[in-house]
Amino acid sequence: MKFWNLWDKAGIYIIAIITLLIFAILTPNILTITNIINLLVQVSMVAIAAAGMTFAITSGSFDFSIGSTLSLTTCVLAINIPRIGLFLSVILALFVGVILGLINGIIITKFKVQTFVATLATMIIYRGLSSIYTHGQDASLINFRQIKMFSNGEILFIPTPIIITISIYILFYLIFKYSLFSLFVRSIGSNERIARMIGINVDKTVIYIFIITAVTSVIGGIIQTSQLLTGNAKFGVGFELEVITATILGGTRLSGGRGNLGGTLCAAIMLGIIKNGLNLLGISDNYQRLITGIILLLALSTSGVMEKKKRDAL
Amino acid sequence: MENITWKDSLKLKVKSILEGRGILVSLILLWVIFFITNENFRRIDSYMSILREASFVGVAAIGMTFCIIIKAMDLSIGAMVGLLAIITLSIVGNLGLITTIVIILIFGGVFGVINGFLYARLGLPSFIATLTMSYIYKSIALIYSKGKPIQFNEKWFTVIGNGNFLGIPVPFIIFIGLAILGSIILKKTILGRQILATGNSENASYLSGIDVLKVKIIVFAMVGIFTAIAAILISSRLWSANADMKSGYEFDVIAVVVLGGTSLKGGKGSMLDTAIASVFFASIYTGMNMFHIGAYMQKVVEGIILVVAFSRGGGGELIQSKLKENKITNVKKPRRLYK
Repeated sequence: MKFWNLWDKAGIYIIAIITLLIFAILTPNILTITNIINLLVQVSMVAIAAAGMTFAITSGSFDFSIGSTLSLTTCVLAINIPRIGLFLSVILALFVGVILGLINGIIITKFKVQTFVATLATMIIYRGLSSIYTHGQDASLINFRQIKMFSNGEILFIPTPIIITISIYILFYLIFKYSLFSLFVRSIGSNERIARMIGINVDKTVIYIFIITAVTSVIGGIIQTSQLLTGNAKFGVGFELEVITATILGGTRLSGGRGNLGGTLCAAIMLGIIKNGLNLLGISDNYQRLITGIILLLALSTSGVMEKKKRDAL
Repeated sequence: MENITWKDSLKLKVKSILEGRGILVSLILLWVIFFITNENFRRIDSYMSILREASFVGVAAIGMTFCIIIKAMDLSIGAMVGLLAIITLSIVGNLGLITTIVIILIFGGVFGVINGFLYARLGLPSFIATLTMSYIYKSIALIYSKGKPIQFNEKWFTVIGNGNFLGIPVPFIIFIGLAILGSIILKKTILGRQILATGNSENASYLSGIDVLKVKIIVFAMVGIFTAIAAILISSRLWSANADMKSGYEFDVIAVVVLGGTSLKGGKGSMLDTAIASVFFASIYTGMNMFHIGAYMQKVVEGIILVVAFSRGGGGELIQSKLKENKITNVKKPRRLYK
């Protein structure tokens, strides 16, 4: 039992290091500094959104609409930057994110729909909205390169996406560790009915959680737009699965009640290492998808088996 | 005097038929509106085409009804249809129809058992386990087809999806047959009783000696088999398949099942209502096409239908109280498990 407890806490770090070693042996190129920085930049979108998702899964809810939120963000930015400039567009995108999260939260709390069905439905709606907004075409930003500062800019030789990721994780870690809000989140995840009984405003907390997931995926969307300089309704398909994989691999419990932000970040980086390594090995995209799916399946299965063991032990 | 009792009994009869069949009323209303407003709907062909389209979603919805009765959900069927359709079209030319059907049904059953194993044995939430499997099925389909569409258009195969028998579309006949089969399984067999009991209360069923694990896995296997039949029909209708062809199909199917009054809380469901709901859903789509609503807007409308359907089926108190005034919602009655 002691081993399992330790594994529960630190397993993901060990797995990540082993993965890195395996790929370092297979393709030594993975350890060059440019590649590592490149890898971390690639990881940043998933990592940022996974930070928000950690809150959601800790409270026992899932947000499947974040992929569509990301695509809607790219569309909003790509269409509005030529009209109203960079700064206002970013503000607008964040505002849209808050609204989308609010809609999710209201559907879930006021209409009493289960979180995953509600967000699956809004996933379709948001993607439909972004298709309508761009008329199903690419919205190009090729002449408006200021937005590149979100992906290529550097502060003290560190690329901005990495700085954004780190600062978000520090902020969220402080919230997660010390705030009353995270205590509410965890108690809702452990047992919603009791959380309601002891006077926690569950509805308000859940709405905040969905605003957080939406805003984090908007930040991911801003980075994506600045990398690709386009807005397209097709972006972010499968993004939610990648983010959920990272969160669950990181040791956040599927049934809620316990989250692990450090583990989430580590798992996101590990997924990045695997992707990057497979790319360097020249393995095609379809096989990469298959491998990602199998990793998620394994992560879920071990998490499921372990929870079952704990339930049986009680 | 005689006259009044006759009227009363008729009223009662109509009431008992319509009770809890809000979906039938909505379907009739929708068709009346279509009939009045659009002249294309004054021809029998439009309705036949609606029935044909309804059966492609409806066949999978029969399996999904079982699944939602036990409070689970299979999100992998969209990817499964893509994969199975690709396999169908690539082997049907060499192996003949019967062998192909048998192979595809076995494949569907095996996929279903895998999903069921993840859900029942490992205790994962069904939606997340099946979503993961959908990712895997899709990538297998892409690898198998090398990302290209696969085609097969011999007349003897495409007639299944496109043909008519006595003026009625062949898929619809198959669909009705399967709906009756599903209804018999649910209402008349021990398995059906066990499924309803498991949906009502898993613990009570377990304590009364039902092998809950087995029931759950069988339900997922049935979802797989019905999806396989749907895949054969769809591939015969389109005689072309690729990995992405039916992404979003699972949402159509789930929307149909929930619109048909199967509660997301489990333990209750009716195949007849699911069948009617699939016709209703197809009517809405055909209607949106007739009124020239764009494809992207259709997606948004579909999402909104899903939200409304879910908030009804999942106990959405706000919408339910609104609908109660119009008598559309199913008033919760004590469930009858045994006759």
